Amino acid sequence: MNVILSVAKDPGERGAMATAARARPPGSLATLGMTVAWLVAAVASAYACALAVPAATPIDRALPLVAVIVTLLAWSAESAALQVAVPLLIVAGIAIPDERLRLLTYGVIVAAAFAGSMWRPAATLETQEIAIVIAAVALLRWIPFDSIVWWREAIILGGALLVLRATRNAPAATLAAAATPLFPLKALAFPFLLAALAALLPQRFRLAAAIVFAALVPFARYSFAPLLIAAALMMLCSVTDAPAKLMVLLVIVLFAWSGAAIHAMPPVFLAIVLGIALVGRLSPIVAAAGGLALLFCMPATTTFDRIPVDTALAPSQALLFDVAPSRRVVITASGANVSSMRSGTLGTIEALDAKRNVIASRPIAVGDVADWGFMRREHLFTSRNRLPRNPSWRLIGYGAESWFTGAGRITVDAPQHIEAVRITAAPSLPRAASLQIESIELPRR
Amino acid sequence: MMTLTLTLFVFALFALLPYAFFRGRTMRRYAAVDAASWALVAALAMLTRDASFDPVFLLIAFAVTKLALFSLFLALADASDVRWSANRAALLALVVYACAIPAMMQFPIDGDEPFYLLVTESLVHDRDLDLGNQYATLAKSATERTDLKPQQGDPVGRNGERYSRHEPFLSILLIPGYLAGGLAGALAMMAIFGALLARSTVRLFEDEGISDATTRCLFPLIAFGPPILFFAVRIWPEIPAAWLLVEAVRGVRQRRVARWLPALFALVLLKLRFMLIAIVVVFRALAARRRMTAMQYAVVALLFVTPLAIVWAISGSATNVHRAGELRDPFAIAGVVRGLFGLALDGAAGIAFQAPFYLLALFALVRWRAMPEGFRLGMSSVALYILYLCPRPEWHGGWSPPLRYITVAMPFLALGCAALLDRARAFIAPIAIATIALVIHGLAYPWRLFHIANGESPLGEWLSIHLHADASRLIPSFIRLNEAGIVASLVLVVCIIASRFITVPRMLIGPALALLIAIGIAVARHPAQRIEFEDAHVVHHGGELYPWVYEVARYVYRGGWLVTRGDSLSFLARGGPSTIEYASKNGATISLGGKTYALPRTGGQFDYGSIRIDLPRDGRTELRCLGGDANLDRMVHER
Repeated sequence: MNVILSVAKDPGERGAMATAARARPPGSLATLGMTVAWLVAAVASAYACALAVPAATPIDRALPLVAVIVTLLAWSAESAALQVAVPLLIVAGIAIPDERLRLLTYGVIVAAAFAGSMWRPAATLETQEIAIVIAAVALLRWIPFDSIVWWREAIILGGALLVLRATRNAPAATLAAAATPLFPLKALAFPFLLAALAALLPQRFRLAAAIVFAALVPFARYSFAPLLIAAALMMLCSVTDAPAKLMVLLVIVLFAWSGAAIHAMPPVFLAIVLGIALVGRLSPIVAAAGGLALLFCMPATTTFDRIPVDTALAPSQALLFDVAPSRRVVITASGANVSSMRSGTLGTIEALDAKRNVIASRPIAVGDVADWGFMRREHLFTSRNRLPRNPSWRLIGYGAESWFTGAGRITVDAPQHIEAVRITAAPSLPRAASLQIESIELPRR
Repeated sequence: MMTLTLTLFVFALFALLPYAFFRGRTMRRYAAVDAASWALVAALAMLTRDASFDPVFLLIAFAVTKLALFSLFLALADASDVRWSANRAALLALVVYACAIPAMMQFPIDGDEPFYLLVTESLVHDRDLDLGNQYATLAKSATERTDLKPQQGDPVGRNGERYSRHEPFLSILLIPGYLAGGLAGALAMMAIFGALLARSTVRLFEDEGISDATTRCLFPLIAFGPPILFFAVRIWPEIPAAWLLVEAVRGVRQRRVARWLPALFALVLLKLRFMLIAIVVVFRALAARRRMTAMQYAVVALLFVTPLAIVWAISGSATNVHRAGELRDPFAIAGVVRGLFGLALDGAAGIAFQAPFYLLALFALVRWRAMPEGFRLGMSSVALYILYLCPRPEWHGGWSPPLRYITVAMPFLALGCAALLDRARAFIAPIAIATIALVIHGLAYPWRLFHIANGESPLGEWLSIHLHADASRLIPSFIRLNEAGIVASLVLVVCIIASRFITVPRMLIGPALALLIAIGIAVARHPAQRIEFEDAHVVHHGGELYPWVYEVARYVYRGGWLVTRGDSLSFLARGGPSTIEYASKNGATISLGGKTYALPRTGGQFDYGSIRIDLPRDGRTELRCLGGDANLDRMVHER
């Protein structure tokens, strides 16, 4: 690590504090004073968050840790301006009652602090990069506190620091740590494998390796996608680290649901990162045109009235219920004990008219829905399911423990008004498995 | 459709702006960040679809955030990647002000604004200053205010003409804009004056040796922050006055009579009160000259006589609504001190809460000798004006956006901030964020720029409603002087003195701010020692505010809440003995904390009495009027 610690970037980019830090010999009274001041800043920030923000969710309760993380970033980047994130977190915690918006706002604030740190090289660059990796790992993996398996997290952090040593790139190391599943034990080898790859693979092959890893994503098991994307972005860092940085920032925006974001979203994130990179090469006009189109098209999506059903169907069991006349119904369903199924049919939806004639039908396949809990971090790695084509995006839990349910939304359209719906679980389902119907949605009139 | 069109217009302008200012690597980086911001807002909109928000607020918040991002790039980019000049700054200001006009037009113009526009209409349509027919046909007026009546103290002509008390020069300046586009055109004229002010301010900075990098860093805080942004898109004389004063000071500094004399002449035509500024500027200008010709003396005399003559011709009095006795106002030292600290610290009308950037200028004042000459000349020019302003009851601006009367001094305060930037760089981030929040608030809810000056503030009211507790008492007020105001004054004095000798470690500024907010929130959740019944933290079920919101100079009244039988109030209170202060013509009966109290008659409307009560415990308490009527002023706990 000492070798890395001796590297420094352009002194012109450093602030006044960096200049002052260079002027002080290590171990001097002034350096000690600065260290004490930073410690006081961290304690004061954490205390302020604990005092002011109501402990409504595990994320709100973890705000003191987030404040310490922000202080760590500010210290490593030698930028006191980054600490303005702490009062902002407090204001957001007090002012925004809507839980989802509040937690997203925390994410945006912390991501801004990370961005400020990543794009502001400090005097001691490697200290800064180590701090970024530790801060990101703590933020993405250690919240909520009561779910931490300390020894496993210590191994992952060690692996991430090894990746940092091999790549000299904090975003790559952060992604390696973030993507590593906590279970099973063998998955903890992932960052070490990446570190070895980064150390051994010659520079000229890295771009090709990045392309290979990215190309494998559509064909690999769903739970491997984050690992492959992390590997691809790490390899790409030899050319440019902007995509890795953007990916880290996107994940940090969603740190309140980091578990779900890391395991369900990487392909989406990759698309966003590529879009941003492309627009960066084009112009602000393209960005504005695309953004406005996106914003104004959103309200045009149909809204639905949701009727909860919450019934599990054993193999061959059927469920019939009447609905208000409509040409479209959307069934939200998931499987139970089907996480090992790569494909197959779980049941059938039949749309009926007033005389109970079938006017439309469609099967419920693995892919339309998935096992309800297949994305739990304990199950994901071994599961053969993938995120449904039209997921319900229902989130369970917070932080590293969060996950999306495997429920999918299946749309049935009919040429005439649907008056009733019959759902039948496939007889071929395994004995312990069942088809769970969560709700039925009808277009709002 | 209108909102959609305006939104498209605003964001299209924002998309074009970078082409006028950035190039090379900065341009590419800005494009990427711009795309990221769009992706982020789209994601946030999608993820929070179920939450209910005000869409106009969200659009304005996003637009202001984009402007902040643009400003960040402007401040941090390499000089070689930025196209920057005073003219480009003016262009930028004009674009931003043009975008702000639709936001301001969400609600009718208020305060003095409609009267300036009425005079413009009268000049255009009737070629006179008599507003009698304008008041009679308000439905046709571009003011969109059908409730207008002559203001208190407006002059009446010999034949019953209704004149405005306001000097007509601003109304004359609005004529081209009004002819082109009615109210929107008049606001556009103001925006042009705002852009001219932006240009002159940048030139002033250049003249005084402020580097381009510093100017680029601070320009958005000055031009797009309060109060200049809000006055640049509303009809008040403050922005043209600030522009003219900057030009006058630049003219004096450059010894160019052709610049400062016309500027000062126009300045005093805008408002008689600006004569107090002109006197000092003329004195400083003449003091710099060794000899004066008779002609020059005559021109200077004309400078002062003309506005007086115009006002005399309109109102029959050369001093309009002002009295000779006002000349003695600065001798009321307590009023001066209160006004000065109020302008600096008041939650509703002070620099610290309404335009925090200029707080740095107070620290510049104590480094007088080290400041640029333009700062010293500018500040000394407005000193007499501020000395006369502070003891007046409406030092806070009355029914207007905050900092109205000192907006004219803002370019010079900004110059002081610029000169101090290297020492105060660590404060810029929190100041910038506070400024962004104020701008979003002011543009999204323009009517909230007008505060009823009851001793609370928008921030205090919002927190009080949010926390269901009296947070307003923790925000300094000098309109209704509170303990927070006294403490804040002492802290400010100590900080200003200490800043000469001590440098605060930069890393402690953010945490100190966080601690201040956290402790404030924690303290606010406990009952206050004094409860003002009209305040926002009191939950009112029936009754009405006294005096009513639009009472002229309502801040000189002792306010309260009128209750009659059946009305009730709920608030956090402390247990134990307390005193209720009230006024009641006929007496009233109230229940409070499970006991019934009779409020004896106090006499007239303004005769206040008090009654001792006893509350069993701390916590939320309900006061209910069981009979009679009373104006409940306040409740003071004895412990």
